[in-house]
Amino acid sequence: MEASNWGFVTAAYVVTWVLIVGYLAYSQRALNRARAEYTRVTGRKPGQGEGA
Amino acid sequence: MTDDVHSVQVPRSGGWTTFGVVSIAALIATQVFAFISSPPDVNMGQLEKILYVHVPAAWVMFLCFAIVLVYSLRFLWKGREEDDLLAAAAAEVGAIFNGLTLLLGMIWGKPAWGVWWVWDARLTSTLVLFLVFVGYLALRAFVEDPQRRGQWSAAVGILGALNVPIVWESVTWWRTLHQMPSTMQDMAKIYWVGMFANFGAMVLVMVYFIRRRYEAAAIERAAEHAAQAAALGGDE
Repeated sequence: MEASNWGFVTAAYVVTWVLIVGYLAYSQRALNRARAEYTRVTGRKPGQGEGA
Repeated sequence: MTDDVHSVQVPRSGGWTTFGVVSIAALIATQVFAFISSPPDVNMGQLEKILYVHVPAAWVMFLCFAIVLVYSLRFLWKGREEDDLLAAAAAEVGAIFNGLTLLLGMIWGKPAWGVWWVWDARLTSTLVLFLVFVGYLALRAFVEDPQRRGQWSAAVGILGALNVPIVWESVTWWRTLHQMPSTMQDMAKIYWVGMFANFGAMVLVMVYFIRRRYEAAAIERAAEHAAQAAALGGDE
């Protein structure tokens, strides 16, 4: 069992990082989209002046 | 459409990118530390290294759903849309860590138990929890009215969070395949150090994710408010 375990350990860490990096990219894209939409509607960058 | 009680404040994003970089760096560092510092377990061999991600992911998942519970209750109490958005951000991040917990459990289960999946009490209750929060997110996507969306998702979020103690206790209430929770006494200190270090780093990543998802949702809602105000000919 010992020799074959490294494949499972590697798979576990690959899955972890694919999920974390994938979600990081997804979150950043969603944030950029929201900021662009806010700027388009208000003519200001988010966080500049008062909230809408 | 009963569009809300008040406008959503746009959160400031200063410093959060740095926080995110530090969180990811901390997670890499704690994983490397755990890998290097822990010897193979007598029974599990190198498989114990999966526990440095599986167990912290499960704890972080519980933490996310506790946040959902607190902010859902707060939303029902005060009616502030920010609380609903924060609960939703925590629910989404919790679902991600829930999915990760299930996947890592399966990867661990195959070599340890000989099967990828078994309808064991812990696995089944964790899957139910996952499905409840996937349902929560689907519900939010289908309900347009912000107040109704907030109330319905708060109800589902609270019900889902109440499932957490069942998941936690499932291994003691129903003795099936999943092992009982380990204690400080039956695990060597070096394994605990690696596990808590990884948990700490994963909590930082969780905070970063929740904050970013909340920020995006709040900006989106603020833009919607501004667009509606402009359409009605009022001020933003």
